[in-house]
Amino acid sequence: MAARQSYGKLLAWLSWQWRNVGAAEDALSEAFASALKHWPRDGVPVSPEAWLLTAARRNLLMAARRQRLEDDPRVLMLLPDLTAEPVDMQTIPDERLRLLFVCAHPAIDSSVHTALMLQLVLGIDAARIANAFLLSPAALSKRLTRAKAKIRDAGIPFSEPEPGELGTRIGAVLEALYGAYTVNDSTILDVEADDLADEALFLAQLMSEQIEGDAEVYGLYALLLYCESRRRARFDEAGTFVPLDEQAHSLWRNDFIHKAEFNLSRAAKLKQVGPYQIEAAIQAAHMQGVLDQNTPWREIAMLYEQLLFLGPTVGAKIGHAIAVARATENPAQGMELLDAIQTSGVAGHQPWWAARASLLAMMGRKKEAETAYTRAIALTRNEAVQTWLKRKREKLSLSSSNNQN
Amino acid sequence: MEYILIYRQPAEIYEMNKDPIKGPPNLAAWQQYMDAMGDAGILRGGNRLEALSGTSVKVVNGKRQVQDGPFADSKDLLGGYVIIDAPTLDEALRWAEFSPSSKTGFTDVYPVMAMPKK
Repeated sequence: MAARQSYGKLLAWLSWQWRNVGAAEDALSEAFASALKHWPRDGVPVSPEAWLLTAARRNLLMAARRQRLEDDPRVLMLLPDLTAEPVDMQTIPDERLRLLFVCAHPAIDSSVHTALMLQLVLGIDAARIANAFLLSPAALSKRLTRAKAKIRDAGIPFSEPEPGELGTRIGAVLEALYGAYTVNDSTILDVEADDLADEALFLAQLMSEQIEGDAEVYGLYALLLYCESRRRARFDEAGTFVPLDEQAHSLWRNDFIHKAEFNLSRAAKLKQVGPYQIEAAIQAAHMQGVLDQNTPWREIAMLYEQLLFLGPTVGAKIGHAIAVARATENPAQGMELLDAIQTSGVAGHQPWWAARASLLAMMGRKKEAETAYTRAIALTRNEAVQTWLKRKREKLSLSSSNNQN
Repeated sequence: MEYILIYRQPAEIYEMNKDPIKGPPNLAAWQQYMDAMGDAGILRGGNRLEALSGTSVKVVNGKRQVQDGPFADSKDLLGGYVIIDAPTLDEALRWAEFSPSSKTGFTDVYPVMAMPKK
């Protein structure tokens, strides 16, 4: 039994029936705990999920009795279920999508959306989430508890958002998933982001399977798939970060790439351009460039222009500057673009310094490039990235003169 | 479940409402809004308040401190509230959205705490 699959499905169903995510969560984790006690002794039941569901419902009822809620219609609704035949899991509708929508409700503090999804839909414990997001576990638990209390007390509906609001809510879910995937301290997608990447990918897949007609849903899934396809190629044996254009493409996962391509073309058919699709297309272009040994920088620069048109993020501006420098073979032009973003507080941003360093190196300004690499190294906590940047810096000082370019 | 909708607007708006010429159109919008809630059968109660005539009281070291006017530091003054019955927060938020105060100030929505049965 895949616990990742079961947990969210069971919790979503219980929450939907009970209209109380917090109580459902307690009941289900008690059920898992008693499974750990009983199964090794009595053997794993024929339908583990049904067993868990029955146990969780019993726990919910017991809690309701303690709180003297016997007349509550919700309790009466659960009662016949307990005496009935074991539940057939096939007949239980998948309510996880609704649960995702609840987690991303605009009435809930947006900084807790991602953590709520990871906890409620995948059952990841708060300590691990806190660790990935570099938060104190106590502070995160407090915020999660508050959010769950609000879901219960404020009457946040356990239903799909109305058509007029659906797009915004899908956007909020996608943003949270993207946040979970890129949780590391860098905006470079190739940086290992704990192992929440797996979880984000799983939820993105779930979204792509259950939502029809939203191009960005497929766009995000494609983007994450492209990134994931290179996971094994991203670090060498010594654990050093390997940038995309130096990766051994034999290590890429073709099954992921095919799925990504499928989703990206599925998105394109809907003719709703959006940032995730463009970012996925940029990934695809880079990867094709490695295969052809000829990166299509002009096309990549154009994609970045589109991305900037939709939303001028710092990451997109940096990517654009590099692409322009490479496409025109004129690093000075890229440098101008990099300098133009200096105002928006990038002095503490590692990718900006790394980009600057590479352009300075292209221009043969070695001393300045070295300084820029040193700054970039100081601005990342990721050791694999540090080693890679140090290596770039070393290469620079090894090349004796400018003719190395 | 029940929700309270609290309407807050800047002082200028309340002053304008008292103006014999500029006031009526603005108040007509409120009337329409209240009528809509009344017709929907969700209104459970509410009041308009004299937003410009509030007084705040605070006890410091056992001594009463009385201050004119609502809270010099808050720009938006409390001008009224209603209690409505809505099945979900989304429904309550929609009614809040329709309020004229949401354009000129803002509207707070709180679930009313359910009291235990006696």
